[in-house]
Amino acid sequence: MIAMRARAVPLAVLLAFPLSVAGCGLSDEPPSASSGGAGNVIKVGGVSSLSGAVTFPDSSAAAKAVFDRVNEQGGVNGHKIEYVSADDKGDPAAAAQAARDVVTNQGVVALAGSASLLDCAVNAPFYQQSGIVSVQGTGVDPTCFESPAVSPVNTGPYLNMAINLYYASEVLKRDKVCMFLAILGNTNDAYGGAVKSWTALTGKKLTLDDRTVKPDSDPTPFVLRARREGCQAVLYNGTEPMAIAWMKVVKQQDVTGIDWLMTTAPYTEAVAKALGPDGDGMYANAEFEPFTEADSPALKDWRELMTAKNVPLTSFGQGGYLAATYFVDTLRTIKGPITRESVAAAFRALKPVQTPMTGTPYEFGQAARHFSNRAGKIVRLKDGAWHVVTPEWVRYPGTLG
Amino acid sequence: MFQGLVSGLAAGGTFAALGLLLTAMYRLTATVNLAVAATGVAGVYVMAALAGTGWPYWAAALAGVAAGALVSAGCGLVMTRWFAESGPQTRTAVSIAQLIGIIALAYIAFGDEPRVLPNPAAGRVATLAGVVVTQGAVVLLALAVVIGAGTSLLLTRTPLGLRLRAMAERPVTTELLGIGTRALTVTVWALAGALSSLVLLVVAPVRSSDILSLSMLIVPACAAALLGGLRRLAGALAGGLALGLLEGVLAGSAVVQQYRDVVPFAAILLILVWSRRREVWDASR
Repeated sequence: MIAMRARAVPLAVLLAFPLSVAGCGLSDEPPSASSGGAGNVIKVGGVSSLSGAVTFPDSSAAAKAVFDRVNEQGGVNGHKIEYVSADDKGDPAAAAQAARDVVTNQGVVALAGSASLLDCAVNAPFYQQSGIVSVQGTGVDPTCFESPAVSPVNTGPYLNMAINLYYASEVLKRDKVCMFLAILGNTNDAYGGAVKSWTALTGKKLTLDDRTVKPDSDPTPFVLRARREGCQAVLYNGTEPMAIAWMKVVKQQDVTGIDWLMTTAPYTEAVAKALGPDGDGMYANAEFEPFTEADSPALKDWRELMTAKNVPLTSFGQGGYLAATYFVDTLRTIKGPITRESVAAAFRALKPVQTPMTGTPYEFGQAARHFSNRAGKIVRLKDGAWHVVTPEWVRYPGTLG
Repeated sequence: MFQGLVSGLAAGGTFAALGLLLTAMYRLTATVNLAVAATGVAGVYVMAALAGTGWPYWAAALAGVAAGALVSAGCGLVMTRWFAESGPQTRTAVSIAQLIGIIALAYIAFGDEPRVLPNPAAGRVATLAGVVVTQGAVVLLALAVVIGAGTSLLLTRTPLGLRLRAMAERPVTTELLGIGTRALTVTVWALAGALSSLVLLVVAPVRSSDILSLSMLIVPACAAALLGGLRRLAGALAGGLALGLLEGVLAGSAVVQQYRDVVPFAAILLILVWSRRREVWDASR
């Protein structure tokens, strides 16, 4: 008997192996996605980078805060929401595993509030095959904006760059616009698309296009090159520590007369604090109503909820909050059982949703790719604090891809 | 061209100082200590944490240097306790494990939020070709020279250096001769950690200051040390400086923009082949 059991174990493993391999590529029917009767739980998932070198914990935390409040108020048509947030550890293998666990094993009806560097790149085809939709809280990699199954609420680095280009040349009226990029992963073509789109829109060309900055480069030679080439506006896609180093070198080298335009990434309180007055003259592009505006009526509910639930006030938190809010509002429109299919159908039929927190309405629909957030508000550092310089949204008139 | 050279001075000083630390550690402890920059990063983050709670900068920096020394001494203790008789290959592999361990622990302890890092050497020394040369660049170059000269003196002029060399090259024989050197070796590790912390306290405020980027300064430092064959201090000094200056020149040039990352390493490869030309070519003949 013992011998038999010992032989049965490897056999079971062998039998399970092809099944799990099949699970990697093919869609799976969720075991408990249906929530027909009142009182059932609606499972919603998220795949975010919660540990590792670069983490985005605020988006899923904000989404959870929204769902918790909905539950406290009685749920959606009597159903409570259970939020299953998985960690991709910034690792492709872990991301694939996390998505399969959430979608296949946990049987979530949809994904909302995910924030990750690689969730889309790794999992978007799987989501599409599984017939599940993802309302991404923060999409970073280009695939997030190129999948019919994913529609991020944020602008993303590429449109962010296009808006900055447009702002530099058309609003600030700078003739010599230069760009320095750190290319991470598969982002080169997406940035190239942003530049192409801006050139098609305005007929202008970059004075300098340098995509060879590395996260650990000394910024000094790049900053000096910008000055030597006579750049009037410089766009840079550095992350928080990269932007800090860049602006410190700008001050150190006494470079003046150039507008330094960054993406959303360094628009944080930590950067303002770390730079202090050294950051004067640095712009950033807020993809949502700027969170540093304490009195903004558009942010009243978000601010109150985040404060009550102890979620840090960040741009990522805004993304998670918006994703969860759009998701709950869409759930409420569903008549009949809430299943993966009915949720996907509801998002495919979704009419554009306008909120005061974004400059353009949120869309899902049946498009093959989603770039619905096409606006930003430009903020500038002065004496270690962020100030809004464009009270009106800078809406990008073009599109990418 | 000249502007590029001047703009690479600080980077050159950094690579040279760390490259020399690597070379010195190899000669004194027979370990390619790839975690040496990471121990300095630990020092920087301890400084930032203490300065953030209101400590005056110099006290926090001193505590940071002590912390860097302590972390490095811990690594050294592991090395002398369990890997004293292993070959350099094994010890280098262990130091890779230590590097990854320090990075992981630092992320857990300090997170990935940017820190306020006061610059202890922000003042200007001169303006050359329109480039401001900061005190930081001068301090880094001075540190490199001090580390190089200090190690050279220790190795060639002192009985202590002789004992350390003996321990590094023939650990078993040394022990059989009754020379207890474990405490000494750990002290060398601690000193390397303290010096690395000093270097990084000057570097971190003007470079991307996240834990990973700073720890990975070990890559160009390794290249610099390789130019000295991990043995010649002058070679590491020259190699580090050359790499930094080359980085400065190439970053400012549009022509070689695409190949910027390759050029320094292609240069190293050529120099290594040239320095081993007899062995390489004679063997193939």
